[in-house]
Amino acid sequence: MSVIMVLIAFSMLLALAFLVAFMLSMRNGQFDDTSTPQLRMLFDNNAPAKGKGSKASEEKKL
Amino acid sequence: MGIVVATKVEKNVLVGGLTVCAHCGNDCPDHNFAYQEKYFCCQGCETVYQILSSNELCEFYSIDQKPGATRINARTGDYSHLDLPEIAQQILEYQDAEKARVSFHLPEIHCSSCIWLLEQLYKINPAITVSQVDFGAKKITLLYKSQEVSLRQIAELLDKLGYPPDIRTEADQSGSKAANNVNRRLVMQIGITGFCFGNIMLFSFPEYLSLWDAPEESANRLFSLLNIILSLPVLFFGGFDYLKAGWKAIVNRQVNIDVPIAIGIIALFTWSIWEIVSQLGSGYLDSMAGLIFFLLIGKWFQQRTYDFLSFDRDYRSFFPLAVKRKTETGEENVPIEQVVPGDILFIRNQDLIPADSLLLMGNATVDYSFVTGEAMPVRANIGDLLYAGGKQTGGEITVQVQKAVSNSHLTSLWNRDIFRKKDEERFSVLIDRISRNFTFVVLAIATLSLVGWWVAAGLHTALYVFATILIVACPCALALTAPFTYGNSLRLLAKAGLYLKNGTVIEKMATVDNIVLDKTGTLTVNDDSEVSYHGITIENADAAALAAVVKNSAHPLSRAIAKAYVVKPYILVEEFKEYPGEGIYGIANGVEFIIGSRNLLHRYQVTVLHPVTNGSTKSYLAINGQFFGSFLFSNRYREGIEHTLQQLSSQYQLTLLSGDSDAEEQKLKPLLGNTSTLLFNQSPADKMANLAVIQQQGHHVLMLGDGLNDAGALKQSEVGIAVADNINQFFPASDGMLHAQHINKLPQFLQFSKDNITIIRSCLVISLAYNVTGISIAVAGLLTPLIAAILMPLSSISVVLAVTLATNIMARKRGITIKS
Repeated sequence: MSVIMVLIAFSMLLALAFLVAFMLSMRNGQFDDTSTPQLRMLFDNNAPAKGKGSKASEEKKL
Repeated sequence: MGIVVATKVEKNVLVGGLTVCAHCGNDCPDHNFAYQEKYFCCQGCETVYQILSSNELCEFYSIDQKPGATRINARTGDYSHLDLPEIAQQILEYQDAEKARVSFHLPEIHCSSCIWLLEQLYKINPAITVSQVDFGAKKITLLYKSQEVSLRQIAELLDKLGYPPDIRTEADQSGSKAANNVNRRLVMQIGITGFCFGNIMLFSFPEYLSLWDAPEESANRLFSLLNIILSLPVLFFGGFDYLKAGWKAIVNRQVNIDVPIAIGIIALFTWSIWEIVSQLGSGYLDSMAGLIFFLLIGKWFQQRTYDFLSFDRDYRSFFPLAVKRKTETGEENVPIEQVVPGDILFIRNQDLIPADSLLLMGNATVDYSFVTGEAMPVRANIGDLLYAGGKQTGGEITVQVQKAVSNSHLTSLWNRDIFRKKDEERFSVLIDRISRNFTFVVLAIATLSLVGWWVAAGLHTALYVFATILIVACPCALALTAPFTYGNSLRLLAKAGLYLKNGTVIEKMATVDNIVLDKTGTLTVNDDSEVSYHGITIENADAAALAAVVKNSAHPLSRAIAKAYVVKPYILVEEFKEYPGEGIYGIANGVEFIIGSRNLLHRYQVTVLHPVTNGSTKSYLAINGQFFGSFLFSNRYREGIEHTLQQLSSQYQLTLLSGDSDAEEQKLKPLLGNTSTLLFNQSPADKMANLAVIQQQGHHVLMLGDGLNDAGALKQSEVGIAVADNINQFFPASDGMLHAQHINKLPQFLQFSKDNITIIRSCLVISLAYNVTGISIAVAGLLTPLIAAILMPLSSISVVLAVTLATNIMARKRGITIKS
């Protein structure tokens, strides 16, 4: 029986980690726009990666 | 990229013998605009293509079908007012010494190519560091280096690319931001409650399956304690709004649906805690978490709104942010709030007159269609008073402001009380009325059982029965009926062209017995008129040339004539001159045409032989210096509107409130039915007052209108629905927006709203049946956590399925959704 206790403790920790991840992503606004990403992912990225790196870092600064 | 450009050349070749514009795909009659062996229909399209090709962005044309919007009648906007710090301040979301962030609403966003292009603006202007599109809200958020590029330049770039920004100040945008925060909170509540619900269910499984040998076993205790911990966020975060609403209702001495829900939640929680603490059992925490989870889902279902529509705009969204004011040295941009009486303003072609003003200089032809409902532009003489909201068509005029913007004839409508009170309404009056009786009955049964069992079996059993009755009577299914019915109906109606603000509107639509209609722009088509020609017959060849000439003018009357003579092949226009407010002169195919007012014909030494004397709008025609005849214009009614009005008049009392003259009364009266009332020359305030009179007689009114002149009446009515030709168009504050091409479905929409009420009523019977069953079990003292755990989701899910199915079937039966 005690092995169940250990497993439950681990599973709860794991589940809580996912819950925290969900809460953080929610707070960052990842769920605000659910229609654009599904279209954006279809674009071929054949342009040179110019500006991409700066884009991500700029976003963080805000 | 070079390859992409090469394939594009083939795309521009002739399709069915006609050249199509390489940008927008429209017919391209002449080869006047060419660039890199491609042809364009107009300068605007060519400009967009040039920008894209010089920045290697021609992939734009290969992502989606026909991505470019035509620029043929597009007018490059003037964004110089964005250089004003006080205006920029209102628009910018964030600003520091180097960077600034701004969001623009771009109504033209319509396909994936748009997203692709707009998110690569940095290639066109490297000073724009980040651009991100929100497709659903048709919004772009830009981060840029404010030292290198100005807000004005960004707006001009977007405009040039075919995405003119619809610029609103922060005050206008705050509504959508608040909605966004509410939505985030709700999704967070659903996420956390769902998480806890799932885990509580798992920990309750051993209990359902009776796997424990003895209740005091350590694992059982641990599971129950974990359940209590997990149930705390459910109660205090997920269920907070319900508890608060229930408390508020009791304080206000109103019993609505929130009260039994709050009682149920509290009974579930306290009884479960008591059972666990006193080691009598493991409680009903799974049922509580499930209940709140389902309720939140229902709330989310009916709260999904249309990001791209705003239902509470006032005149400010229609008016410009700034105007050009005369100064001693020249002109300056000034925010519209700072315009004071006495200022001298310059108003250019297609600009709005921001405040009631006197005309000082220039040819004023003012289009009041949006303000008064008058269909045709009105000519004004020097010294005439021009009303705020009118749109100048023609050359530049100079005006002197007489009244402040907010106190002008039209805008003062918004100073009335009705626009100030914030409407806080119950979601469903119907459900509230039923739950009031329901709550009293449940409380009575619970109290009687408490007394009965106390006498028969002692206090403990009596309390157990009392608690379980309150638990099982919790009207989860009852509370879910309306959100899911209305939520699904809103979705179905939106697909059919009617966008409603929320579900309450459907309920109100069902109780309407009076319909008030506006004429111009609602029953008739804006920007289009019925043309009839009276005079000497025009030969076919000349008619083709005439069409080619009038096609060059963007004036509504010219467009109407051009439509009446759709002619191909295209004819080259050799000469063309437009006299603002008077007419046009042109030579095509060697034939000379003069179309316009009597004055214009006189200027070319042509005498009008048969002047039209009645009040209707007219244009005279002369060909090769000889008077030919006259074009008469009348309103063009929307197709099939006669039939729709007849259908409506058989069930509803109809009233027409028009700002236009009564010229068409004879034509309209039979359409609206014998009992209808028709009132003309109605000012915006008259419309509101007349509507209030109908309401005072105890009627529920649905108002159908389109312009700012209907804004008061739309607000005053029980259900105000704005008619708009496309969803990007401005429409005044209302309860809903009806796509004009679907106006003929209005009788079906109204019928469907009544069906909704029937569906809700019948589903209430189902949910009450569940409650009766549950309460009977509880009264008998037989309710176990397992039965509660089965009964609660079963009733909720079956009700949700039933209403969704029923609304879909009824929508199909009424012809709202078309079988595919």
